[in-house]
Amino acid sequence: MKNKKLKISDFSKKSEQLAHVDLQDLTPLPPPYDKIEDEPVWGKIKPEFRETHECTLDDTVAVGIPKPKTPEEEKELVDKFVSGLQKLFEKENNWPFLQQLMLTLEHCAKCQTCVDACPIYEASGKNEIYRPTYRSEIWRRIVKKYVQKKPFASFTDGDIDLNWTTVSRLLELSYRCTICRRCAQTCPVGVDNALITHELRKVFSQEMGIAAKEIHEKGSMLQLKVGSSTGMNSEVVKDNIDFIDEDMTDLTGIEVKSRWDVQGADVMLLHNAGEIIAWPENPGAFAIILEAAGINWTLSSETVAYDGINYGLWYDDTQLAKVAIKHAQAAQKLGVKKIVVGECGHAHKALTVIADRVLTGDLNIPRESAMTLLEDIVFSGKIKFDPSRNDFPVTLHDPCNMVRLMGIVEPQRRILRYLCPQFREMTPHGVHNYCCGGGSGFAIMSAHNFTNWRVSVSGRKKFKQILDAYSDCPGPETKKYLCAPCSNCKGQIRDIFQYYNAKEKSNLIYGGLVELIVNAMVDVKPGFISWEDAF
Amino acid sequence: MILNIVSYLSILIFLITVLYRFIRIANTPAHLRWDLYPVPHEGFKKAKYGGSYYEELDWWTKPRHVSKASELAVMLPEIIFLKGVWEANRGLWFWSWAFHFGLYLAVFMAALVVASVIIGPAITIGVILTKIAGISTILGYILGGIGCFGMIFKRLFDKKLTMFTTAGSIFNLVFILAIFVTGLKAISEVNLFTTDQSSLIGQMQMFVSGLVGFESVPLNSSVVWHIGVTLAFLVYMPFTHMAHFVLKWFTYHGIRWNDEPNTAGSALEKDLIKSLHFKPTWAAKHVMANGKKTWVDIATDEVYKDEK
Repeated sequence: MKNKKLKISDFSKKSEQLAHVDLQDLTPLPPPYDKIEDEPVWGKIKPEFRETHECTLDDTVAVGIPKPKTPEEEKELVDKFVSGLQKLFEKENNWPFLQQLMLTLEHCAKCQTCVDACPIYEASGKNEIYRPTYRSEIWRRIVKKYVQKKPFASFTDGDIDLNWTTVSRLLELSYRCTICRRCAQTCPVGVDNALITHELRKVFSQEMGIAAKEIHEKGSMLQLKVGSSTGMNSEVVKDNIDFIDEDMTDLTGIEVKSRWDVQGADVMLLHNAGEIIAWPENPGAFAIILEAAGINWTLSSETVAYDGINYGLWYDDTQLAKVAIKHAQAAQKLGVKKIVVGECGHAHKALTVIADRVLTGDLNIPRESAMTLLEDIVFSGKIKFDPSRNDFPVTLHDPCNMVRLMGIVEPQRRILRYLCPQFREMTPHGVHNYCCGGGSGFAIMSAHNFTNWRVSVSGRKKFKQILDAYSDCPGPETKKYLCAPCSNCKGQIRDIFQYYNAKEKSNLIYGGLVELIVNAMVDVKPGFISWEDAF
Repeated sequence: MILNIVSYLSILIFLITVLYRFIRIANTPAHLRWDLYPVPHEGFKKAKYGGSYYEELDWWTKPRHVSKASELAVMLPEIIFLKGVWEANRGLWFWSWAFHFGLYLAVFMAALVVASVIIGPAITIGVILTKIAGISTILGYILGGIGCFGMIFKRLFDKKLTMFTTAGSIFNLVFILAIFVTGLKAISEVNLFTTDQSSLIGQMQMFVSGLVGFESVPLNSSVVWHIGVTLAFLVYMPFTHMAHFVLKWFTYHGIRWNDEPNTAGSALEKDLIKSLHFKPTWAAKHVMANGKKTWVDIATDEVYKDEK
């Protein structure tokens, strides 16, 4: 189907595939990434999978649920979907977002002011199905016609057919938005179309038990069962941290020993456990800095509490609450003064902001960002720095959850301005940044050919921004560093760089903020950040 | 007298409906935070780049500053000039601004008419208000009419908007256009710039006096049409998305800029505890809701307790 002729009503009509992503339509990248023929060819969804699973939205699949076998089964699922939508408007079921949702349902002026703010819509060459209002328009029409049963809804709000095709495509479409909320930021009325993505995912998860496998089954469920979505139990995580400490000691020449379960510590540090597996230098660098600054800190080995992730933030309020409470309970048990969230954007938002209205009484333990603690340490004079060790071009990626959605903008910048002589900003940056393209769980989702989509479409705008920040030194002769103080963003950026071979073509590597801090520490052996060892 | 009765009813329905919608939203339970930065009440300095109190070490130990002046500095250009549309949707801006500003001037005119009736249209201040009302009317109706035409044209022919244009959205615009057109027609048939009863404002003043005094007053038929269309719109508007003129207060102050931290023993905490004791009925197995368990039960229950 020609995307440009797409109508709202097409969404409910059965077809093999509703929309197509044509690589020719994607917004161009700067040289040497500007040749469409050099774009990696997208993998195809296997015909046998297509035969048995729902993948009729576009060229990729994020959830891919099995096709219902009978019309009765289809009807049952559609009815469940409607029942879930009804629950979204009941205070017993959706007090956490009822007010936000009612206002967003009722006050969109359909002015399309928000659409150009969406990096996915723009990068796709304005493919209609990725327009932030396309998804929300369908949702509004369904709610008004089938849930509220509003008289003349088809006339006042527009018509839509509700059938299994509509529901199964909405499921997939709810995983084509990173919930970065850039669209909401531009809405003059204050309507939030990204919230609709969030609430749709909730209906599928909380009512129908359907969610992307990586964020539910292998994500929050695994975390609640074993302790971490990485699969590490507390013994394994302790062993891994021991290995990291040894490696860091060798690398830096400073004795590194992470602390576990220190009763009454000032700080309980909460890492995204993905760091321990994928970027061990990050928890290692944290340990070096906190020790050097003389902070009384600890990690918790309590189940769930050694992994700061909380994927419920993206799709399920009940999962969010379960994990947040475990984190707070662990801190309560240790009697720490505060929880400090490491370099993980969604963990920041989930535990500090969202869970603020879940954690009551004794569980409301003070929580803050590592950015502010790090800023305090860096400017305290407790550690000596040599900024010339970081004398290479550095730019900063602003994780949406930490910046646009929490307002933590300057502490990390003050550190970078001080420690990185060639620090430069992206355009736009701060609260107007672009999402890395891996938000809302995408960074950990890679089944079938989803990586193709999330890198070349949802991550495209960010990659262009990164390259533009180095437009004065694009070639491989200049070493360049992208600072991304967020695990999920790093996962996405890793995949973007690998996909486009950015290390070889641009000598571009990425990492966190603490790595730059340690790299500039006078007491540390030079070369903590290494272009040779980075992939 | 029929016009008077229709007017009382229309104004009553308008007020009740708007109030109902306001109270309905105000009565929703305390919700989770969903703030979005910049949050202007963080003060001019922080609002400029979008910073929050989370940028401060041990933020919970420090006094929280809420700057209303900084909020106002963001709200005024947004309300008066539609700054957000100017920045993100330039092609629509002029039409949308003309449309909204025309409405503002029309409302301003109505307020001036009421004020001049209360003060007395014949005394000096009343005369001045009447004259300002006259200017406000002609400017507002012309601007609003142009805005309406432009918006209808955009809705019908701009590719960015057409997919989302419903019969209802055209109906709304035509309805508002009818107010401006009947107003302009009335202006063309009565004397605008005099302050006597033959002018539009004079006729409006008579109408308002009649409403206040429960008296029937003779009005020009074009003025009656204009008032009739406006009253019909007053009844209709609060049932539509156009009620955002009031409910926008919640989208901004209640959600986007709501960064109030939950503190022990606060009224907010008490409200939240009430919400946490609601009994959800979500059906997915992993939620473990059964209509009897509260959110607290669910959030603290072990997902895998059967396996342990």
